[in-house]
Amino acid sequence: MKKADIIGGLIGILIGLYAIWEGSNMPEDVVMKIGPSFFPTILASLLIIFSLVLIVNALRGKSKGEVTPLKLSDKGVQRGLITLVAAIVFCIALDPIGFIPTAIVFLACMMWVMGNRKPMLMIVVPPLITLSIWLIFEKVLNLSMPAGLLIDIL
Amino acid sequence: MEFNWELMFTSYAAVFTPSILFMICVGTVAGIVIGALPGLTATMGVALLVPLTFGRAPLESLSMLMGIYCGAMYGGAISAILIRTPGTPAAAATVLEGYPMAKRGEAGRAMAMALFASFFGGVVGALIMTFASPFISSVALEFGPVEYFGLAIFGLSVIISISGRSLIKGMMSAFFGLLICTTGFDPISGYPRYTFGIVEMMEGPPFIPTLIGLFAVSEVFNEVQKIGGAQQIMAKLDQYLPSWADIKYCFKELCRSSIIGTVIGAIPGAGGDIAAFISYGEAKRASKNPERYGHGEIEGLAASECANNSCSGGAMIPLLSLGVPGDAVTAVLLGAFVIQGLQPGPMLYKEHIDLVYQIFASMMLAQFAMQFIGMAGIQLFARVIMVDRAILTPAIFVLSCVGAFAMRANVFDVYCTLFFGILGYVMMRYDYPLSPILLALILGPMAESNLRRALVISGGDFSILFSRPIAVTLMVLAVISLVMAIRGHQKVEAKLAEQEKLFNEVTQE
Amino acid sequence: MKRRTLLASALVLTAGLFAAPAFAAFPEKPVTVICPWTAGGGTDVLLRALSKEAEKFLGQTINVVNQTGGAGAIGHNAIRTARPDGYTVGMITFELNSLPPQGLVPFTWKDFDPLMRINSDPAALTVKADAPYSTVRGFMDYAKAHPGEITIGNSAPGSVWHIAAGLAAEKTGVTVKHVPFDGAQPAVTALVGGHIKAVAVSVAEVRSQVQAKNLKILGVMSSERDKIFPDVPTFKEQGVDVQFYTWRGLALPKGVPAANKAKILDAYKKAFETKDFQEFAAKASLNLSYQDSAEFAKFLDQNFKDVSAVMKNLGLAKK
Repeated sequence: MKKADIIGGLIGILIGLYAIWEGSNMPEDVVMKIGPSFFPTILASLLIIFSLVLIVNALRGKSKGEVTPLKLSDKGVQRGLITLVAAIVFCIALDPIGFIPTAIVFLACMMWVMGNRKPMLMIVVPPLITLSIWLIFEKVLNLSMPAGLLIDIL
Repeated sequence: MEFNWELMFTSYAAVFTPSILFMICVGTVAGIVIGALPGLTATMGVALLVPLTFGRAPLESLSMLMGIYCGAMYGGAISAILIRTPGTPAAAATVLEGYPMAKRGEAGRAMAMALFASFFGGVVGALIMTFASPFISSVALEFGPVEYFGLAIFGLSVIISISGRSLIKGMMSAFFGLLICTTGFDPISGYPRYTFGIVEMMEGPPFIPTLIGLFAVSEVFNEVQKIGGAQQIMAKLDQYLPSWADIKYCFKELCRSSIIGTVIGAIPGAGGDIAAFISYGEAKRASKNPERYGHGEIEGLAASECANNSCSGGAMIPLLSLGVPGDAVTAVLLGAFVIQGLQPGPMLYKEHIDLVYQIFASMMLAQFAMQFIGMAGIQLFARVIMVDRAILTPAIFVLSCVGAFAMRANVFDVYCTLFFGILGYVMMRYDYPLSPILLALILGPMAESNLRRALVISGGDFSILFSRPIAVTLMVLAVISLVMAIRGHQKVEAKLAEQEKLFNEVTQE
Repeated sequence: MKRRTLLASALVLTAGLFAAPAFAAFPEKPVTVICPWTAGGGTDVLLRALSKEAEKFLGQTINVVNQTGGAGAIGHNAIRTARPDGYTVGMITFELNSLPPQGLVPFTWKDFDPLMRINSDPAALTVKADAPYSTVRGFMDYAKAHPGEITIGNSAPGSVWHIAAGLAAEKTGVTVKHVPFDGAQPAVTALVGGHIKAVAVSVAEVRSQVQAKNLKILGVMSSERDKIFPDVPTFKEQGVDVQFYTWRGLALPKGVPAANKAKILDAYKKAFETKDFQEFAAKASLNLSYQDSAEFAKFLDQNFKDVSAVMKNLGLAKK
């Protein structure tokens, strides 16, 4: 955890520094001297202080807990990475392609990734889930979902 | 305003008709479902169903909306317990204890307690609303910018209690969360901050997508790595009501939380999410077993659920007696009243006092409807958790994205959910607690805008912060609760260290 | 060769897809109306009430979609960039004219096809009922005599009511402190609680508190007196020539076929005239003021110029 804490602390400091730097470009209120950057600057300073404490603690060997290292050969890690890619693709495709096709494909892929090998389930379940979500949101609650390619049919 | 007993009985009689009872039940069912769906909040539910009330009699439509309001407040707990997704922001604190309980196979017990706590809180809220409205509403008006700032600071002092094992990491999460809140338009000058020129970021982080991302999506990433077939959670589903022992164990918290919830609900602008977190923090502070919190402590679950439901009764108080909504849901309800040609406020008491009492009555009946319908639904809902993980986990992800999208019909919110999902996963992995971010998102804007507002009024003079008794009391309370929470944290750590040492000794022998 | 036939047939197919709706009677599927403000708010409730009536005349379902955020910028942008086939209509509000001067959005009202104006509500200067002044003049004199004491609440920085209060203060030459709140409702609440000295929001937003005698209206910034409070004089009557309104209307993205536009306009105009909608507006104390497309466009042009000028004077516009 020592290395992780040091990296975490550094990220915290960088975020804080960025917030302060960006805040310094914001206009100042002439009357009160308290402008848009007042609150963020205080918060960023406190974030930096706690990040420093975390780093110092880590260097003194006082880090708590342990992390299991990520190994690419691990099946779980592989599944995690595939899920990550699938999730990103899903989100990007959602608007241009539309909710119904994207969700059906995503669900089927993910079921396979998660170890489902029953063909009947793979064919029946994804459309079923997708359609029931779509019906509830689009038809019952009148909240529109991205239609995408199906815009002229729906 | 004198309390009118006779009117109370006649209004219960007026509400006890088949058509009104039917509307309450319809509303409650719709509320529970909407509340349970991630992304659809109680506010959204009421707003979506208000158009259905166009052209109906006032009592009919208002009693349906009461049903939705109460139902949704409980519904949020269902998904919070079962799939770690707070269905509504008010159920965010419920996740902390509810999900660990479900993972332990106690979904049935957790659901039964959540329902009962909601019912208990709702009834207390409705009682206080019926009997103490005029008194409480006068306190609500005392809240100006300075008091709100004090309240926000008091709320933020809960952070220690939800920080998990490392206080430093908890504080880092909290300040990171507060910093996220400052993106978007500055509440006082209107200057767009940290937006990178993206229009969607001008209003700050979209709250619901962030919430869904941090909790639900991060858990999806966590879950896919673990499955190996044997991960199936078996839920014991033999409970409709919590056991007598559980009720007795939580009774003190139920009473305390329902009062905290009602009072916070009555303060305009502070809603169920804040009430739930404050009650949770108080429960942990007062508990004899604080080390159990975060690992499925039923007392904490009861506290947060009880508080968010009693909050609805509280929020109705200023709406009816002052015409000032107590939270986001009642702000929408105000619109529903106006459509009916009714202006909530002192005039409503003068001109339509019978309707006011009927609303009290329908609020009370909605609690009973919620308890009975909820009991019927427990079996059905709790079964969700026994669905094959290979189907459930991807479905949760899709539902999360849909929920995030539905709020504003904007794909940016879906990206936002994904971003916070990844962030949440990484943070969880390295032991950074997520709940402080959430609390910061709820209270950050309140703290900043009211501090700045107070300073505009005073012309930049900081002494205004210490000029008002309620605000000073709240800030002193914040300091006390902070100090006590830190000491409590040290005690827990000492206890845990002792246990670890003992464990090591035993294993060495 | 083969590829070319494929391409050609694809082209014909797509053309057919796009052309088909033009031949068929518009509208043949539900129409979407974009609301740039949250569900349950004043704009949303108005739009839903009107759309519910319009459905009957249009013969199709009308779905209201709330695309909120960025002080209305996101919703307005969504209307502008929607497919111009008549199936997407939008509610445009005052912010369409106040966002461009601040340099926050890359479009103006000229990027829209205005359909009709629905309402316009004047600002009303409202104070506590027990305040020591009861006219606009009295208020301004008090402000001059007690510098730094007067705080006027508004609904958001750069919002319509911020501009209204700024304009009134500018015309009378007094300095006041503007306190932005998160919406008009919290500002009114703060006034009732005595945390600020005045608000300049619409009559509808202070109505219940005025009727309950907690607040009093000093004057309305319109050319005529208000229908609900006919006793309250206008600013102009009190010698302060300020008129300031917020407005709401419907618009289409540019390029909608004229026939489709006419059908939408017809349905909404008929809906506007129904007894039910008129009753609704009266209950909600909305100041209905219909204008057709041409008048609305002219109004928008003038309003845009006025708002830009005021915002520049108040230092709210981008330099």
